[in-house]
Amino acid sequence: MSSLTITIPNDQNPSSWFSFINDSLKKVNLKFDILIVDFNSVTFLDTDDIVILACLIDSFYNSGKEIKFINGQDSLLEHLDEIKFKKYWNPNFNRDKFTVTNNTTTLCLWHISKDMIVDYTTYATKYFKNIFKDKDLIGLSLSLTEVFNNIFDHSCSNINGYVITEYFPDTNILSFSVCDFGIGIAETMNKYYLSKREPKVTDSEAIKNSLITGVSSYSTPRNRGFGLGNVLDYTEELGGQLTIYSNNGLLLKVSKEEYYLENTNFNFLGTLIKAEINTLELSKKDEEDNLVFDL
Amino acid sequence: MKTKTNISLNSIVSNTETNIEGVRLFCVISEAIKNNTELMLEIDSDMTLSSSFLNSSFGEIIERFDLEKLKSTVKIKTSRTQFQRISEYLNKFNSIYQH
Repeated sequence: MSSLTITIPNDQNPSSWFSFINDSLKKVNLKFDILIVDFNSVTFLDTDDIVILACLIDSFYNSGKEIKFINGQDSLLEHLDEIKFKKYWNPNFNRDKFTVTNNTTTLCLWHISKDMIVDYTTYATKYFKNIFKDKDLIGLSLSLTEVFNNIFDHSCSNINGYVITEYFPDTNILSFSVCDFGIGIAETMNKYYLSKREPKVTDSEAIKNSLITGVSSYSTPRNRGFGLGNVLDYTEELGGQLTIYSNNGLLLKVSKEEYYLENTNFNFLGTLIKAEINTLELSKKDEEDNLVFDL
Repeated sequence: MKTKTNISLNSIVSNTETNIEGVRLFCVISEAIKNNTELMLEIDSDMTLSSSFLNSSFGEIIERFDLEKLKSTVKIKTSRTQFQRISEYLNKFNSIYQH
């Protein structure tokens, strides 16, 4: 049987990663039987690395390739085993179904499926309630829901997408990343502008516009431009940051700081969202829930 | 004088994260408006009210009727934090999409 090896970058540099992704995607439809994913001497993969890698592997898997893994440092391999990463492309493994994690701070990777959105967000909230017992976690489940709905409403992705949520106790950071290989937020927004005979904007500006409440591409009749703005509110309120890569745009919004926008040459066909919050800023859950309010 | 009805959101919808379930709530509220009924809507403080759900329920009521009609028809029984989220959504939606 013939094989092809793709080698994961050793660094965490976005430029290296997107080059790796794009170069690899060019090989998806080549004729070979086995894709070998070489973890190189990588010691750590962050949440955004894991989801974009999962989307890449999915692209090969969906074209009929068998998936194998080699190399990687022990710390990485242990982490990947605990979140069952390598099992995802075993025959008969149901990636749409929720997989229980063996890790105390990281939920398993999940292949986003429309039917399971509610189950995932419910499980994610319950899982982290064990860590943040009396804290309000509605913001987490809301942000996850908004990003999932965004994928189904806008992305037109063939592989849907992947999500992973991880807590880093050393830094008190809770992070989730979501990736899809769809049209990309920037492209979707600019297509909408063109349809309205309005001028295109840069990809990074398009991403920023998608976060503004009330700005929508109206991919479905019920979209009203609230979804991603809710994710931004979440990271802003909780001293975190929001990073979005899409097409040739990068947006980074650190809580209480100005937007950082960059026009890249990554040519990333898709959207990668990473939301991080400072868990020390989580508020206590409201205990009293039988109050009556006039709207 | 308006008839008053207590209803739990849990009894109307199976989740609060999708458009489809939002439409169910929309139907209940619009029926109450047509029948001149006041609704006391009980919402668990743990419920995640997604924008998709809110757009298809409260948002649609604002667009079909108006915010004042919604306010005169629905009271909410919930936690302070949950109410603040709903209130913020209504104010934002109304300011952007008001008649």
